[in-house]
Amino acid sequence: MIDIRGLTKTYENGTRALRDVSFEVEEGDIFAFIGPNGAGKTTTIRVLVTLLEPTGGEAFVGGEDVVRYPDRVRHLIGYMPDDFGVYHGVRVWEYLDFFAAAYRMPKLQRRRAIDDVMALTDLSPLRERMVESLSKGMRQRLCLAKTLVHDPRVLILDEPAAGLDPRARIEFRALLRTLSGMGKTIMISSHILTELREICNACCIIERGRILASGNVDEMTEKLMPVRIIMVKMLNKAEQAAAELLKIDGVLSAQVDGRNVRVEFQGADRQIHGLMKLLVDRELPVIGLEEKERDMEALFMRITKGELA
Amino acid sequence: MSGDERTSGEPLRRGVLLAVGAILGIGALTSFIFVIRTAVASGAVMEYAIAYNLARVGAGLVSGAGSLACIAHALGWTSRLWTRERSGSGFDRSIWVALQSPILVREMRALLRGRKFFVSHMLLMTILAGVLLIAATTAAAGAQKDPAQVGKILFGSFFVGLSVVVIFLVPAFSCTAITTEREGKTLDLLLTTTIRPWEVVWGKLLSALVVILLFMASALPLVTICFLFGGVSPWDLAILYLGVLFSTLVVSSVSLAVSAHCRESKSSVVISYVLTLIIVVLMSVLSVALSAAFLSGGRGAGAIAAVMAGFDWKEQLLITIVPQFVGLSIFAANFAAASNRLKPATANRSTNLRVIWTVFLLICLFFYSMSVLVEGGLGKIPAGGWPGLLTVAMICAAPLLWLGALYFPAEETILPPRVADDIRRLGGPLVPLRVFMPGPMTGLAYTVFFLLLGLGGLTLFNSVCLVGAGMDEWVWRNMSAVVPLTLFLITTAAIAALFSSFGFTHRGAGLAAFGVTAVLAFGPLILLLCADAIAGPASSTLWNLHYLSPVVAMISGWEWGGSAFKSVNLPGGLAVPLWAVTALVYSCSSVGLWAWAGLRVARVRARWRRQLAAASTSDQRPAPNPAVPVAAVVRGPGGAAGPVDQPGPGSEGA
Repeated sequence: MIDIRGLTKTYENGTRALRDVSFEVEEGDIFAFIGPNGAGKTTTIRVLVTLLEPTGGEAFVGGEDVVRYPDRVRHLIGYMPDDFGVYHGVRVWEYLDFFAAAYRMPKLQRRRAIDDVMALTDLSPLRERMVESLSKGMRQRLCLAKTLVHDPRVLILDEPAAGLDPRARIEFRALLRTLSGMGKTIMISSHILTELREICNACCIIERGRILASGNVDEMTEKLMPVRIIMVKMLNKAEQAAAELLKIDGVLSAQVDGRNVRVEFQGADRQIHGLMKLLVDRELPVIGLEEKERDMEALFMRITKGELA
Repeated sequence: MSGDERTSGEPLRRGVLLAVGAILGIGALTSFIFVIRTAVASGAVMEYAIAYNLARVGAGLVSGAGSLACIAHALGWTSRLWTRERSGSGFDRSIWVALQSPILVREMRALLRGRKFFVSHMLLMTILAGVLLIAATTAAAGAQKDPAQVGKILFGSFFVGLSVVVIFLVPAFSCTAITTEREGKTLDLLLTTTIRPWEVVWGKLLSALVVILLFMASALPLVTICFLFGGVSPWDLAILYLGVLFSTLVVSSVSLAVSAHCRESKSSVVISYVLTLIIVVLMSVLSVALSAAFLSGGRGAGAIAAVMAGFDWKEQLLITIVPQFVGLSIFAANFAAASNRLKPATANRSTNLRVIWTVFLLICLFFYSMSVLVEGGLGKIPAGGWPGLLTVAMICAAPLLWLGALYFPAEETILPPRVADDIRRLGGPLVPLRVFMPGPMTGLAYTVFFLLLGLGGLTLFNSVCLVGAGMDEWVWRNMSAVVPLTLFLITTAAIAALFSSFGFTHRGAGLAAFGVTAVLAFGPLILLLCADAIAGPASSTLWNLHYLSPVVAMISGWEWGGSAFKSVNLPGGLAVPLWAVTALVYSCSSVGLWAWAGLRVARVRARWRRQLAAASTSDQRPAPNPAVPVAAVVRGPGGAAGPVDQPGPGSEGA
């Protein structure tokens, strides 16, 4: 759905914001675009949403070249910038009506679309509120509603959850899942990683204008962090269990920690089953087995700063 | 690609275009044949009806060009001109947008809820009521007994009051129109919708117009007082309202352009008001003359018609059209500048301005020709009348030409790839159109084209009219005024292009060239003072040197009294006319500067291309990042990962 090939951007002052950035987002993905501040996330996004022209390379959204056919691309995308404002002196529905009209929607269609997006983003009770009286979280919702009003196929959200309280963040995540369920391709940029792990299925990590890694999140975790940590909870006989586990192929270490055994393991899910089977066969009283989440934060640290501490 | 699609599937449109082209072509041919027949019948081209014939030739040329354009478009030759897609069919889409601008609706909602509109409305009403009250009491206190005169005085004060207040209220409604969007961070939201930059500007302009219309509508009850006394017709009121609306359009377009160029509202407000003041002062020269005539009027039934009564219809046409046209061209240029500013930085930002300037110039030339027609031919021209007109036209044109010479050649030295592609596309018979595309060298070419068209047209026309005045005078005026001015402007353009090639920004190069050429233009005048202070042969040398200033050249073109050219005595006993020395100096410098600028631009472009090439190769080398090998592992097998021919950073390190 989004295809970026060899994108470079050098600003007039000589800053090279992007150096040969290439990645691809499949249709229906929730794609996390991750990088520290100043890595080039916003520059890439501004190129994608036709606000900025690249110095070199190509970018396509839905097969359309963003430089050559910006109008077609603008129909396809909904863009939510990281730092946005609202127009003063208008009501919530009028605000949405303005953007729908800016996308040249006929009046009747506009009314229906506004009702739909307000229902989707839970703004319906605030229909007649003045926009400037909304709270930060509500404004965020309003901006997302604006982004959805012309029913775009691709959503490009630049740090959408920045500055939201935990509750609003969780609601926002749920909303993104709903949207993804509606078949929309979503690209989210963020430097807050934990919130993205649960919802995104593909990601790309950028630093200093270069792509460090990109692809499917699970595959990437598999490759970058091959060692899985498994906590085996025993009723007793932890020492014996540790000794048995060490004999299994793929187990790197097994440390006893009270009644628990912390196993460093390298292998697929099928082999975990084998591990459990072994314990049961030896009649060791296992009462639980849990794998520690390999989170994106660890992944990110590993990629951007070398080995994980 | 899109061009081909557009021209292939529309047989009806092509047919219509071909028909229009054929009709225009026949018109052009007829007009040429008519001119030739007249010339053959009378035995001479240079005679009384020459002005009419020239006008006919002009009409023939215009319709011929139109005909060619229609046919070329119908046959798809112009598809290269439009390389990017435009959604919807252009014409009905434009009308649609013009009629229901979403920006207008939103601005009106916000404005009518706010306090600004209410306060300014009350202010306007109070001022107008006060003005009428003062005018009424003065009229009552005076010895004026004729009610029609009192009505006129009241209407006159209303006219002045309304125009002044409206003109100073307009910037308040448009000078922050785009800066607030920028400051409020809503501009990006707006520009990623399918709305176009010019539609944004148009919406903002419309909302300023609607505000002023509301003001004027609510002022109507006040102005009805004048009708109690008589002496004023509703027609006068209609003309007054139209005039105020027109001024609103001009002033708000200037404020909008300023607001599009400023980052902050504060600076935009200051600059807009200063510019408005300048425009008002310039325009009031015209309107004071008109209103003076208008207040002392009484020659006709309608007060404004009274002013016009002294002229015949052709003169009336010129008097009413020319000021409106000047305003219109200010509006067009500012509108284009404002919407250009909202385009991406690397988009083509000058073609529309160049086209507007050229159209403006062509219409200027047309009015110049018309004024000859209005005077009724050469028989009525007083001796030396036309050369005076030429000089006035030149003095009016010179600052504009200077501005153009500073602005266009100073454009981006390094063309953005997209614009460079567009320029490359204009090959074959369309090559001359490249002068309308951005870039320092095309800017230089455009300046020369513009000068030849403008000063050349004026001189040509003038020389035709001057046939009766004698060859000496013609040579004198052209050689001493037009030639130095033209060469000076070409030099200016070359200097601007040179600065731009040294890495100055667009505006920086223009300003630097302005400084240098201002010194060149006015510096020699200082020598005049020195020449007075010293005696001997050095004094005469200094005196001769001050003729290098184009300002002096123009002034000297004016004061012809049958005198011979001033000459400079060279060491070998050779006497060379002064204009020739000036011309030589300027030609040499312009050719030299032009060549230098051309070389510089070529070198800068070559370096830029090398840098781009180097950048793309250096990115393929391994980056000094310890995590890179890991990244490279991931990148490859992702299935979705990037193309094979562009390996990611550090793939060699894996």
